[in-house]
Amino acid sequence: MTAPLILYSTNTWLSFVIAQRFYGAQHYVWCTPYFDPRRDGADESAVPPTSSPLEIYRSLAEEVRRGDRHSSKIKDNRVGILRGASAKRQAGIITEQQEAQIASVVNLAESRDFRPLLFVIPYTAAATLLREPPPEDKAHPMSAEFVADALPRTCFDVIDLGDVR
Amino acid sequence: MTQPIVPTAVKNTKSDSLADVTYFVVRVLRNALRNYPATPVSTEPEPVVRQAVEAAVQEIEEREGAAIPKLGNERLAEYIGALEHNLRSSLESHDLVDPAESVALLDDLRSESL
Repeated sequence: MTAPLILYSTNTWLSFVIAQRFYGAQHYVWCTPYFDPRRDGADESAVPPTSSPLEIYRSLAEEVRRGDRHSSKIKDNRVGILRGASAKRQAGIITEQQEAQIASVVNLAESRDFRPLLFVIPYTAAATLLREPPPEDKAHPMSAEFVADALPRTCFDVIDLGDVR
Repeated sequence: MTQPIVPTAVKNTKSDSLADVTYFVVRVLRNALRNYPATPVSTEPEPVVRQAVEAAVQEIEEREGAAIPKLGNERLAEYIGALEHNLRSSLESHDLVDPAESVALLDDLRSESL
């Protein structure tokens, strides 16, 4: 596979601001070169539509628009943020009190705080920080997916697309 | 249908690993919601966490009498909700944070630009 130009990732506003404030603007990012595999002409390395950045963005935006604080996508994201805080505390990046602060903020957060943001990542800026996830973690064993465990904010742009339908 | 029960393997997890175990069980359920063709447990976590995740997934499947991808979206979402609630409840027990400070912190975060 030739190196992609751009990688895309959908994340929530809350996870973004927590990483900015508590983790030294280092972000955990799961990304793919295919924003919308249906438009890109799906091949064997494209991610399934249900896990594409566009579809994740669209479905999360819809649940946020409905004000559904109890949506499974929001609950999934809460678990991810809490797990991230636990890992950062165990790594000595944040204190136990900061972990508790993050948990408290996650508890207080409203559905709008989980609105999606699109990360647009130039591949060359992130290449040395990327790893391939284990095959069993991918949407499809052949799909092109990358993980950055600590991607600096300076390596990507953030776009709020609003209510995409 | 009965309410989903948090698997014993998750309930019995030590507090330091609870977020990890919950995250990887939820990931299996989330991947099924996204229609992944297969939803194996990740090999990423350390062995003790992975064993707990595998036991939790097995417990859910035995209780439901179906493999995770066959549970249906509503049931998958219910299990994600039960696991998320269990994790958040476990974190509420400590008193390291002043609730008023947390409200102020969230307001402050909301005032930041991208």
